[in-house]
Amino acid sequence: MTADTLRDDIVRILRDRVRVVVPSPDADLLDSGLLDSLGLVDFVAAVEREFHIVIDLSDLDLDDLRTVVSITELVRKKLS
Amino acid sequence: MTLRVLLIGQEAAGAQILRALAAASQHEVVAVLTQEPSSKGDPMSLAGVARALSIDVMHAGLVRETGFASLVRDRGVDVLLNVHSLHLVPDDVLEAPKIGAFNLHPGPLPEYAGLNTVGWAIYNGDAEYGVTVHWMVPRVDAGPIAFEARFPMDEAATALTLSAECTRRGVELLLDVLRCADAVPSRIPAHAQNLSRRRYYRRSSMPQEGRVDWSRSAAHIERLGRAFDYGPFTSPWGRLTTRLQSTAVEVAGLTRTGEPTNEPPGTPRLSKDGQLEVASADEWIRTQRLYVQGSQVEPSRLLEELWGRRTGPDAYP
Repeated sequence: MTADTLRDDIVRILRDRVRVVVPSPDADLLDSGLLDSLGLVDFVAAVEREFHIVIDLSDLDLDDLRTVVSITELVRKKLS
Repeated sequence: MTLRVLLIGQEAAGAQILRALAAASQHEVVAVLTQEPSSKGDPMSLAGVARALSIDVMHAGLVRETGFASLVRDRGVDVLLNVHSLHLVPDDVLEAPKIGAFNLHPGPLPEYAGLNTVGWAIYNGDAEYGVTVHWMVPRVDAGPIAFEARFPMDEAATALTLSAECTRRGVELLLDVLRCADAVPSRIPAHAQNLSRRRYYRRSSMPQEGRVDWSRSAAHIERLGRAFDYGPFTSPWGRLTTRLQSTAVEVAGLTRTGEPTNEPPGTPRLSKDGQLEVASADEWIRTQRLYVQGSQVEPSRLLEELWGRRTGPDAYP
């Protein structure tokens, strides 16, 4: 899976599962308020299901989830 | 009919219910009161969602000001909804809406009244939890129950994931209240709580005063860790604390290793992948992050400083 494909998948999950339309890959989803705590929990669960990976929320920094770019990197590491 | 709703709320739950009201009902939210009415650049906050819907936003503290009950009456409020707001609502305001005032409480009542109850339920090891919408009365979380949902507790639930589950289910309960109020208000359920079973958790209290007791079982310590776990957000209780030698250390992310130990409780060691593990009464417990004086520290560096030796698995104490 290429980085672009992975990023597109992340954008799609955000849009379809938590109804967040991302303005750009480096947009701050947290400071902008696009993703709140409830949305974040739902989003992580959706990513786990989609990619068959486990993401331990308590082992994350908020920066890991701040942008589509950082989320893509997180998922890429989990997949590898 | 169109109900006129006054929403007092905060946190994600407040924004969630407002979005649900906007999307799924014909009712009119006449105003929103929240702790941070002026938050800017935060479109998903309660204030941000309200502004996007052209709804009046006011500070939640206004609810305690003289004359607010008159404002509620003047605006023809049918239903007041209180969602995770920490501002106590005065008696005259509770009586001002035409139908009633309802509170969404993220816990089963009467067993879990008060604050931060999701963490307490995890700590207590309950197999079941719940969320409640009750009629508001002057005594906090003591009013008759309108609707509740009880559900099995996920064995891996953290305070964050359980809070999210309560919000998801609670929004549906609030919509049930409005459906009922819209149909036949007199038929909104009002089941009196058995207050002899009431337990009230105060804001200032937390399990074990936030300190890890390594002499307890691994299962107990792991529950304590999940009770404090709002990761990656900050717990309202802060981080758990412990002492290594005489150094105060904050720990986050306590998980069981499954590896038995006969070492004295509190004995630290460094795992092969560089994480700090500590002996409990029956099993090694793994820590995910360590902080000293607020700054995150590497386990190997911390142990080296405490014992002045080279680091490595089984090198300590």
